[in-house]
Amino acid sequence: MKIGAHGESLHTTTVKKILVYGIILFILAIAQCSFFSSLTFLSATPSIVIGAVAAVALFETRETATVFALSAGFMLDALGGSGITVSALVMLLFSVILSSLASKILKSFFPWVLLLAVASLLSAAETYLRLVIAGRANDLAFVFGKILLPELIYTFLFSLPLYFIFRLAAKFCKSKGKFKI
Amino acid sequence: MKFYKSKFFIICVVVAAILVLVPSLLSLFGYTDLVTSALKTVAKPFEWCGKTCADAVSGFVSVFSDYDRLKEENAALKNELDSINDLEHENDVLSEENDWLKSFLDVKKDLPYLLFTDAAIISREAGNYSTVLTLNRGQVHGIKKNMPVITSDGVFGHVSEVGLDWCKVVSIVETASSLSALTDRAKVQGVVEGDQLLRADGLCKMTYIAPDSDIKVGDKVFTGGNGNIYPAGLLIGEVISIEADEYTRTLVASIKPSVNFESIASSNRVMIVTGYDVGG
Repeated sequence: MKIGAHGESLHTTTVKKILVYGIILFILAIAQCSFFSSLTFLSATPSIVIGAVAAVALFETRETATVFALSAGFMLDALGGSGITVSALVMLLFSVILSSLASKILKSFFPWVLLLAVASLLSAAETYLRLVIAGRANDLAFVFGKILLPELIYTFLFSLPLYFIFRLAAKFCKSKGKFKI
Repeated sequence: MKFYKSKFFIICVVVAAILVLVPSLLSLFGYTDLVTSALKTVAKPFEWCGKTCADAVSGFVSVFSDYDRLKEENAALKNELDSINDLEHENDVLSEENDWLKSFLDVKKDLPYLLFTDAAIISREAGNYSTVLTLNRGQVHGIKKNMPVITSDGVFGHVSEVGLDWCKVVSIVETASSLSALTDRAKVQGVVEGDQLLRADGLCKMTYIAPDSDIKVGDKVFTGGNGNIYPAGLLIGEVISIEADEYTRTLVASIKPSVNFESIASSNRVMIVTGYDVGG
């Protein structure tokens, strides 16, 4: 049996990760698709799942981040997507970008803010691309002022606390990430 | 970079492609894949919970957002109401002015040989009966002492005091006032003057009426044109009672002036006769 960094078997660690991150992802995906999307006073839905992908990219290994991003994309498509759904690939791409960035920064709160800002920008860019493809981005001022900017701000703000949740989760799972938690 | 060339990553990309293609293709053909369906079913109660919570939060927040909106709406409506009230007031003023100008025009038509200037009442004597008024016309407007003041109803009085841009007007019911008069029916002559007792009732008297004169209650009394204040033909009022003077053996008639002194104070407008149109 292979032994992990903290003396637990790799199997146990993997199961722990699947359970912990799976539950968190499930809750966050439901929160994004039903709770945040139903808040009438928010003009745009915050993409907190992408915040979660960024947090996992910060605290976990690239393997875990990739699998998490893949699952996040699938979960989003399953719960909130319709027709042609590409979230799994998009999230995978975002995970690659965010993991690359995360490997170059410290694992503390302020670098997390920077990483989250990039994640929020990626989310807004994805929304813009979707709008362009759907032919609904003609009025750029409206799209930017009423959709993209609010989404960017809300994603950033509502995802900020994820740092603490995933830090705790990573600690619980005894992550083998290369930074000390 | 090594990671992105690893078997693990390539498998992940392939799985992602499958996760994109399979549900999309199934959706295009109107099917739902089993995994998605199962996930949806499991998530349904949680989604309901999330939506219920969101509705509650939205409802709570809407109390504040609606309050601001209603406050703004209320302020806007108040402004609108104010402007409507202003407009209504302006309309009333204009309508009043229009009525007065119409009456002014009627007087001008009836008495084409007189020259008028309009004047507004700016104050009145603080007494029981407002029969001494201050007008907004004075020396700079060509107003002189003893100029007659009339309204569309008839004679009001005469200018008793003139300032630079104001003048005081004594009404015909004041004791200081007297003017020659003539009844319309039998052309009975007399002098209309103020009386201390009658003044309180807004009345004046016509004296020096010959005892055999044909004067009756209801006769209209006009200015006679004698004296140097009032031109002839201006309506003074109506005879309401006739008595014999026990000392002079002449008749004395009580006159109810045609001008309503109370309403004139509220209408705020009179006309000052400034001269005669000798050319016309």
